[in-house]
Amino acid sequence: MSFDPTLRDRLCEIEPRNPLLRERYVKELEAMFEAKLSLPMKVFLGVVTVASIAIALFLGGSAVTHGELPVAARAGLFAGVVFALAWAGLTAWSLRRGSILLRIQPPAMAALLWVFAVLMDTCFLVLAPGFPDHFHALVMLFVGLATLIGAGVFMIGINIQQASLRTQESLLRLEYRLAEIAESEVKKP
Amino acid sequence: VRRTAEAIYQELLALRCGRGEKAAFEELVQLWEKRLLYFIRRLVDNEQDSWDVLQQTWLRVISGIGRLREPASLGPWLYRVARHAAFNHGEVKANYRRLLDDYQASTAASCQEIADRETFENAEQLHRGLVQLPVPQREVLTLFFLEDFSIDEIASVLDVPPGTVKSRLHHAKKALRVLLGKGE
Repeated sequence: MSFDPTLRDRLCEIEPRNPLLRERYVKELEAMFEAKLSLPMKVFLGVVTVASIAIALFLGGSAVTHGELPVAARAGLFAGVVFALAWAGLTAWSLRRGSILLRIQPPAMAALLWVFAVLMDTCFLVLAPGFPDHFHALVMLFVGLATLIGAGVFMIGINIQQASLRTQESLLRLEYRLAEIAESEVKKP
Repeated sequence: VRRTAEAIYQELLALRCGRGEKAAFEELVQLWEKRLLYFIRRLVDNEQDSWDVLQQTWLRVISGIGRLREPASLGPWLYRVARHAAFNHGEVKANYRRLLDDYQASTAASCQEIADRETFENAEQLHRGLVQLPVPQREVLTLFFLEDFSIDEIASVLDVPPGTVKSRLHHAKKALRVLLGKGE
């Protein structure tokens, strides 16, 4: 005798399930993707939002008022403004929802930090040759290069992995469709 | 060997979950919740603990599915995760070990090939019979009836050699037949 999926379904239906326990389980399952903000966390995020906006204003103001700064330095300051505003946007979004979307926000924050680190290191690399102190300029160059190479390797690795998963997924979708067609053909009289 | 659409769908689902697609995870829960709960209930004594174990199972699945090396083996992997979650809950593992020792002492030899699936069509009788079996027999037989797994796949869930699965299945079916008044 071959495997009988209806027996499985019938067995599962027999299993008694307390609706109250199931309701609690469903709530906890939903909470796995969304972390509700406690009051201290809301206060903390509020402070972070205000501080990020203040930093954006300060950096933007500095970039505009200090016309004597080199272009790369001012570009760095503007990058800081964008980063601070993006950070403020993310935290304000969490505050508005009253929760953190665990699948979206922490990766977005990590990506933001990665972009910021790359931008800052690029600025250091551009500014280093103009430093009067050659030793510190050299240290900045090495640290900047090492960070950029590391970040580049990380990004390439992630992209290769994602591309491989997407290809695998596309092939599987195709195989699935073919299997469905084949199975429907077999069922035809 | 040509795979069924169902098997391909499961593999695709595992991949989509691995990529962090929330809708795929919801599909996964909908598809597997009842069977995993049924399996967990055969290992854990009370219902409240079973729901807690099921929740723990999903937590582990969320964090581990991205690292699943063979998405095609999603089913056995889910049962393995559920079993580990159950064993980490309260006294389940200690009780299981004790039962396993007693069980091994009582069924030392005979290991026959599981040639065919038997007809156990009355689900209610089967359910009652399963409850009365010792846990090592109960879990192997539950997997046997819930899924179309090979002996090797059941062995991978239970973390025992395939020969042990065959032996346990043989004894479990024999015991079940006696309980259901069908056999020797």
